[in-house]
Amino acid sequence: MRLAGIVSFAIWNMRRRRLRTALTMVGIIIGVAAIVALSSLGNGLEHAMRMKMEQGFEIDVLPVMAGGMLSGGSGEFIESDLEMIREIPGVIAVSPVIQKTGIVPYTPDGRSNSTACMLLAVDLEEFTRIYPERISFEKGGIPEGNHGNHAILGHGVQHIGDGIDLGEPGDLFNIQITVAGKDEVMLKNHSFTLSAVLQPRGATDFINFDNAVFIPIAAAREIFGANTADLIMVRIEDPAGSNLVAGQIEDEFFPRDVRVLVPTTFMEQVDSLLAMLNRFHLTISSVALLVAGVGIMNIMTVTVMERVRDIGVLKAMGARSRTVLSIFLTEASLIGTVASLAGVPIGLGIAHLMSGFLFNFTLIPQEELLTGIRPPPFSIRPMPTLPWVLGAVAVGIAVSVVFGLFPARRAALLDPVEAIRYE
Amino acid sequence: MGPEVVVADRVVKVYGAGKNQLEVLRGVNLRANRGELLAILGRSGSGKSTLLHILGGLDRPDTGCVLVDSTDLASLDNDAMADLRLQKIGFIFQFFNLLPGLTLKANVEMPLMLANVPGKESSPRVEEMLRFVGLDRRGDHYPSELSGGEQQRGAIARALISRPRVVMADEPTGNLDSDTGRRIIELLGRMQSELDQTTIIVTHDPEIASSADRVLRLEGGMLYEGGDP
Repeated sequence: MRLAGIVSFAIWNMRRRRLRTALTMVGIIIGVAAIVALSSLGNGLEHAMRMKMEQGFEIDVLPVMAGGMLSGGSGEFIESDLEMIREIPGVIAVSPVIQKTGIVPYTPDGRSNSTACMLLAVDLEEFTRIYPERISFEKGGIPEGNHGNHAILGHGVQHIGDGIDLGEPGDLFNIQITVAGKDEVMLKNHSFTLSAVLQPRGATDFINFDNAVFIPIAAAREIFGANTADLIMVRIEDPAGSNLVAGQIEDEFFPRDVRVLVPTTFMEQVDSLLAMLNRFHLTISSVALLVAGVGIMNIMTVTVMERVRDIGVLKAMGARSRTVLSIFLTEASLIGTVASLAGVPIGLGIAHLMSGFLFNFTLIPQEELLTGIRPPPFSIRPMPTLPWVLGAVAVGIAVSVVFGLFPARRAALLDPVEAIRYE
Repeated sequence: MGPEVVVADRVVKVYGAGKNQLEVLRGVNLRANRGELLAILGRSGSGKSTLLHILGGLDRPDTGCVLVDSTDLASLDNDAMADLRLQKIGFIFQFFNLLPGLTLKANVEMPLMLANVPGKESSPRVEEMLRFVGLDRRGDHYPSELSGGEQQRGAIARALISRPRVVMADEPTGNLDSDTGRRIIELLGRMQSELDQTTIIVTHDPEIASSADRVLRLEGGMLYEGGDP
């Protein structure tokens, strides 16, 4: 029997049992829709998290810390350490960083008030090369000579709140800097000239730019009387070479215990977590499809039992066992194909509905509390990919065929005499 | 009458085993010639249908030999047996057994579809056959929309569409009233003479059997010439 004849016969039978055919399809539709929806949302989640991480991590910036992360990351880096790092191939900018906490007092309406900030002493020119996107001025610019008691304010420090600004470029302002003594913590009062204000630029892994006050490293050395830095920020040419450069830095410092944080490594770990999440989604969808497959097997087995006499008649007419097998497998394939194709738009619809209702929220409200700036909502846009969609359709069809095989084989092997006598 | 088309030689068929063993056919011999209408008469449970199924290649004997159009059925595997049924044998059943999901036209066309006959060729043959059995205006109806007599005429058209050498009819009037049954037998006789086919009818009705060229009686697992015991 030609394929066209087998397909026609299968379609005739499916049309004859419309309701049953539709019910059989429901299971496959749900399974395929689940795969499409979960994979689209999974890809969307991966993309959204990657974007969020790329905003938070500068993947071409390597923080160099002494003593490892667990020791607090505070070190004793000197000028020759910076030179050593600058000579490593692939390094394009290096800046020492001294970090202190500070309090900026101000007097709105004659009342005394203050705001906390992070004081960061850096090589301003190098730092601008390390973070060219973040060091973007709303007012003013880098002070000439990269030294003296000048300060660049983060957007949140300048715009303290309630419409009050700390000052204008050229104004003097005070910072009470927290300095650790032998037994106690002291506040050291110091005046700075406001030289620039940054545009709102959010936070990276180490630095909240909106809540920071940047001063020249030379000024900090004078204030604190020390020639060392707590950490070093290094910008590299190519993020793909992060691990290589990080390894070279650690080797150069050996035997000193220096750790280089490689953002791409962290992102790779997050990627592997997301891949695991995707596999989890796939497992759930597979269970749905498995259940659908068992449903197909049950319904087709019942169908075979109902059509035993028809099968006997077909065999009496001269149908080979293989033809009967083909007829039932074609039915299963058609059910699987139609249901799988129907499952794709339904899955996409579900993904869009879920993303609209469930995955559109502000992820880090603390950021707003710290900076006064509301971060954009964390939203997951479904991102269906062709391999996933095609894979879901293929799996839906395969499940239908595999689970249709048992009843089809049963039909094919029926004895024609017993089948004709069957009541 | 032409040469022998169906030959059965010492055919034995046994069902069950041990105490429950039942020897249904005990060395049946039969010759059916080309263009002959042969009736096998027997009571219910005498093994008529079993013999018909063996002669038609649906079942196999335990011992003995069956030839259809000079082909020894014992030498055929299941697929070759299916091919032989497709090309040389047409079956008519007591309960018509039209496929309920198909129109009458599609039912009649089914053997041609199984034989890979292209639609261009099969459609006029189906139309002609339906006209021959007087159902040319009922082709688009489903079996459930046809009377018993119409369904059996449709089944006859289906059995004859591939122009088989032999037609095997198992109680073809058993589910019809006597008038309709008589018309069906007349139709079978007309077809047999016009198409020069060998027709073997099994029946328990002596009146139906009397329309045949020759009557054989199956009794106690043996086949005897003549309708009277």
